[in-house]
Amino acid sequence: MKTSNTLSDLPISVTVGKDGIARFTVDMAVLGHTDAADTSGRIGEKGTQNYFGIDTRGDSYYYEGHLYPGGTIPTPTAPTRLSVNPNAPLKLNNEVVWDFTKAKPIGTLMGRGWILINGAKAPYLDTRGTVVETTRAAPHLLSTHTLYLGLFTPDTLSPPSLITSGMENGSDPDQELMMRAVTGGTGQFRFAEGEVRQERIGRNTTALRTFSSFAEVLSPNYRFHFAVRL
Amino acid sequence: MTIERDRRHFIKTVGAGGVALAAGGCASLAAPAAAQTVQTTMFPPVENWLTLTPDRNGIVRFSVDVAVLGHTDAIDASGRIGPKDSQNYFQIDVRGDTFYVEGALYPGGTIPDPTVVTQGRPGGRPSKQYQNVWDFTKAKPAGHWLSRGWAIINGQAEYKDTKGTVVETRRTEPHLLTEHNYVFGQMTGDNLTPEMLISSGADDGNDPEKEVLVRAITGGTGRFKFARGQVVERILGRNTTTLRSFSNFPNAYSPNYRFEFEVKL
Repeated sequence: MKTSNTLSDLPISVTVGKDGIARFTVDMAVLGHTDAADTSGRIGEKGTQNYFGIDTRGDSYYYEGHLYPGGTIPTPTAPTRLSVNPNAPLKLNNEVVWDFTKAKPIGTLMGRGWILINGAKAPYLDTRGTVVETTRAAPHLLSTHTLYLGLFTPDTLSPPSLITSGMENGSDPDQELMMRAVTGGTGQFRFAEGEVRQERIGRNTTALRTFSSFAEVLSPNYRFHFAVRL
Repeated sequence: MTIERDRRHFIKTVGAGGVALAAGGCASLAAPAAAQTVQTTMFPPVENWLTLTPDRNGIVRFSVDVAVLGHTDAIDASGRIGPKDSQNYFQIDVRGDTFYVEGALYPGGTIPDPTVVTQGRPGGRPSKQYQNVWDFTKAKPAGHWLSRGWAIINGQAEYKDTKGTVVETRRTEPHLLTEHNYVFGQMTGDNLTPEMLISSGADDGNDPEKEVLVRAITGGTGRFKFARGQVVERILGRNTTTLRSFSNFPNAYSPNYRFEFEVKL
């Protein structure tokens, strides 16, 4: 099977600088209905969605998002409260900025991993009674992302891809800036190595399943700024 | 069997170019009596059958074959979006399922290409790729293949957002999103981590005649410690183990795969 080496075949714009580094951005809107958590391995109480009040480590999860060329999703401008908490502070990245009727996706992001939040009220002690760990509320997730830059068809089961690994999500959406490692890719990215900066760009109109107990918590959008050697 | 004899036998049966084992290997494996005449190949250490010679662009190409061991197919539906007790994977949203499965790894060319169009599941379209081409008595594995990941089939007709806009429709392929470890040697107490390669990507489609996947190399050890590249995965008929995740369906034989690597070391 031949895979393309030509960057112009991609559905996004990729620029290679004089330093040999390819730089490009991709936008993503999380599809809340795909947000599938498995709490069966959780350390803390399994029946709760109060993730910040228990030790949720051991939870695994999977979700998908629609990909768009970088810049497609508008930057939020109106500080907004989190829909389910009228007392929450105003945050730019709580604004709903993406309407799925505006554009067709050019690909799919598949994210999967583990939840990292340790909200246990009591510290963890070792066998001698020494405190070895206290609460850690952020980052929330440790994940692998596969970005397929193309749509799946029976004849194209694996469009060009990039894979990244790292942490995700903080407790303040306006401070949420994550760096992730690029661990590989296919097609034009088959020899890729580098990193990606992940930042929030508001919310969209799908609701997250993992917060189903709290009315509608709308799903986040992200912008990924890649810097990779090909 | 000594290593020397192993090597002679290996060269005779697999050869430098990697061809199928034993001339009759691609026939149906139904007859147990055939086992009496089977000579089991034992492969020499990996350095002897996997030489890594780069081309002028510095790229190394080689292939390995894998026979999936159906009895290791361990699925966990506890995180599934759809009904958790169903095996009608194409009618429900199975996303959230996790699984683990192993396979026996052989030098590329060990498992014969299928040649006989065979009926797969009842009512399905026949394909050569449903032919049972691998008999585990033919060769001892040269290593392990370890796979784990998530099922990604969405058999739900459509999903709408909070405004009523359809944001997603049914997607029944690819089936899986996985990490593979290709372990080049037998794991033993004295050798817990033979050299290996790791790939990440999607697996499996609905039409076995079109089932070609491209996966990213995400790392390795030993001679592969700096590996980058990709691997093309093709289905290669079926073997004589059955998949646990299709235990409600008779004779769901496990697939074999050929992995064609293209790596920079």
